[in-house]
Amino acid sequence: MIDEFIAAVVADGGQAARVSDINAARTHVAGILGRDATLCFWNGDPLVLALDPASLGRVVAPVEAFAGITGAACAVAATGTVVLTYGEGRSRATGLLPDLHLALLTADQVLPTLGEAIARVYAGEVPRAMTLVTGASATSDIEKIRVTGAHGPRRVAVVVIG
Amino acid sequence: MSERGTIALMPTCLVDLVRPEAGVSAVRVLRRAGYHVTFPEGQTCCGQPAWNSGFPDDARRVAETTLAALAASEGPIVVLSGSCAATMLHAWPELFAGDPRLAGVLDRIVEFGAFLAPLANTAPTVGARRPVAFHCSCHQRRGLRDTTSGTTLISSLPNVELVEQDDAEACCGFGGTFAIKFPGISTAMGRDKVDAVHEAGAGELVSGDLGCLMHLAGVAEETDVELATTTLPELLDREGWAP
Amino acid sequence: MSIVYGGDKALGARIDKALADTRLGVTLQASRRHLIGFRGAVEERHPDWPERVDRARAIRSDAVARAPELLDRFEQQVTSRGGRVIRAATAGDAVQAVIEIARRRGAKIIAKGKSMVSEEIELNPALEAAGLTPVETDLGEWIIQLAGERPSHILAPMIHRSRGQVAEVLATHRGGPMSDDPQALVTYSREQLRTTFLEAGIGITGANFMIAESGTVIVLENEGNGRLVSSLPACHVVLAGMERVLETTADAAFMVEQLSLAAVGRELPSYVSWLSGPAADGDDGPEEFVVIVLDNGRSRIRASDEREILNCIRCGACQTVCPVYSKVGGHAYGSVYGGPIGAVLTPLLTGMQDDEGRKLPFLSSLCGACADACPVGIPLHDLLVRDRGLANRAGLASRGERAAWGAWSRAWASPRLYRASARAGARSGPFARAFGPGASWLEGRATLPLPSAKPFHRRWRDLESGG
Repeated sequence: MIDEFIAAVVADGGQAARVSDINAARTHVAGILGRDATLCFWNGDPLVLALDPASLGRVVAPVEAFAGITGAACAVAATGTVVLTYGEGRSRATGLLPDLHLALLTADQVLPTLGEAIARVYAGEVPRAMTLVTGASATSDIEKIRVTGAHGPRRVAVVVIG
Repeated sequence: MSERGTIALMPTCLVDLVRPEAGVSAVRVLRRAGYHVTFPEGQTCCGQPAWNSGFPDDARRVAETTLAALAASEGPIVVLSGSCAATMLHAWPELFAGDPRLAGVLDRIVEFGAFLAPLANTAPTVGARRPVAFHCSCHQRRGLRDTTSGTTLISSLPNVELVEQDDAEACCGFGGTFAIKFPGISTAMGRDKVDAVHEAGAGELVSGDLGCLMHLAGVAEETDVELATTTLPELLDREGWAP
Repeated sequence: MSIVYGGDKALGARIDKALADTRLGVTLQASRRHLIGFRGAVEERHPDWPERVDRARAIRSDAVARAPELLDRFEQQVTSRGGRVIRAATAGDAVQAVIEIARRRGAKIIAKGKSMVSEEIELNPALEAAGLTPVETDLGEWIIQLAGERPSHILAPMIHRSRGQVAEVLATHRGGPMSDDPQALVTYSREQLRTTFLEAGIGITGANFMIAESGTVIVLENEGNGRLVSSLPACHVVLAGMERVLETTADAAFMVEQLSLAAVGRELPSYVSWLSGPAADGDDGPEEFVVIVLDNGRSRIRASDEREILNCIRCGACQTVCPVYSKVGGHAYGSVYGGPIGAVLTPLLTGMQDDEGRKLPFLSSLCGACADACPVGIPLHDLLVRDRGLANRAGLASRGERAAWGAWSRAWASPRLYRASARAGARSGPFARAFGPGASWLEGRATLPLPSAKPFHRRWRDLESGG
């Protein structure tokens, strides 16, 4: 199912990889970011904190960052979708304003279908906001030609740990 | 000679009045196929022009005469128009809700091509074949859910080669009163259809719907495209089709 | 009536102008072929498509039938989470509600995500008249706002503009030359509109769906401006037609996929936002969340025999696949809603009172492609015919036209008079060609088919006896 998820993300034009543990994840993310990257991250998410994003680049506000690192509530294998919910230290701006949205997940967060993912998130209290992210921002408004990087992030990269 | 039984022919008002040759051809083809053909007296029109134009009471007034005539007939009611067959099947239940004659008539309605297609055999290739295109009307395609009867029958003719035009599912633009309410759009759509048929290499266009054919014939002539237009019964008659 | 804006230019003139724009026709045809292509791929991936359509139809019909109860539950849920629901009976009520919120908050810049309802209520001119600055942020909507135009398609508002025409608009905006490369145009728009998202005091979006059981508003999009306008400004206002309601989150999950498949051929668009109230728990979202639920004639339609049109989920497929729309484009309809959905809905929303609006159901060849394309199984073909009848009864049909059909139907209800009219018709040539329907037929067609001198019914006698 993780393979299916990764294939779906890639089919949508995104990047996706599975790594064995948080250290491998850090190396992988460092490779994506390159040197001197400006970044912002969810400091209210334990998985993101474990990555130690501050060691991977220069931490700035989302409006100035090249990359935004978030966790996720869960993900959907069938569609390559990352499901975000928000709260203290998990801002909406992080995965929205920067050019690159980097989402960290553990393998057990990947669910087979959209229906199951929504049922899980809505099982307890209704979340104030939930975003289904499937691929990069795009528009076909000009002569029906698809162009990526409209208003949201130009790129999405997903790292599945475990 | 009528080993297959009796059918009731409904040429439709358009064929009756404007292209009676198609009706004559249909009789010959059906007889050759082994049917005894009856022509229910008193039929006029199915009411489609008024129904589609938003005058349902006028549609009902006319259609009731035809319903009465058909109710007095026996056997399959073979209709020489996909759009009329579709109108009867879809509009008459609303126009004649609760009428005890309705079910017995609607059960027997079948469009000419759909009626004969099951009897078609594959044709042996015989020398040079003349390229012919088939126009499946929107009513036949979407109202009757039949995109194969006409092509099956034409493919069974030895001297004719069926060619397929690009974007065959596109509406030809006739649309009944649409053709005269919005002639600019209607003929623009017609030109696209004529061009597609011409590009496919067909010099003759066949259809089970005379309205579409008349519209496309007029457009082809206006734009100097050589295109013969033939109804399906006339084609089958001319080519000597038999089961 | 505001949703019909083309009143000053007759329908015929708009059509002529559109037919002369061959580039428009080429673009729309390509778009139509593209949709037919991806719809085929969707049906291959989902061989249960007919069952999906049936399920969608059932979900929507049930929800519309129970709309008052579901809207009450929706309101109760939203309110319980600190949000607010405003019921707007008319377009004016909705506009006033937005202006009051802006005044109360001291907001000046209003960032707008795509909302057909906002077009329907003519929100932007009213905001501007009130001294506010609405800025469209959907790329297509922004361009046409700069150009002073209306959207011409539900999903692709700017489909009538070529890249060169887009570049022209942005060159004026920039005050300098602008490449017509789509990537460059998008990059420029992204940079320019970023400021709007950050400075706006209010963000306005539409709602694709409202979920009753959780008080959730759903916004589908690809660009990301919907997320931005519902996250960054301190106040988020949602404009939703009352018919957008669904009962459960499970219904919503299914309908989101159905809408996305029908609209763009993918299971999901880039983003789907599920918003259930103002920010909480340290979330950086808006502190105020208001949903304005608009009626504007919908309840009247809901009580009528044409209520199925309210099942529409605004996927735009009917417009894209319509051969008439593909010839003349959305502006020809002169209404906020064009194409088949517009041709049915516009006259119903205006209660059959608007003269231009009630002509729209006739702007169709009744080919049925729209009904086949509809992902919720709305019988658009049948509704077009029904609307024609309603329009005629409401006064669109002149006394002369009604009399002509009456004379025709009385004659053809009599087999004897039918046959007599055939004889008269066979002799009518020059007259038929010169006037009325005959003359219209001859616009673009070389010959007028005339009744035969010997119709089939007069040949039958010979045929019957074996001739």
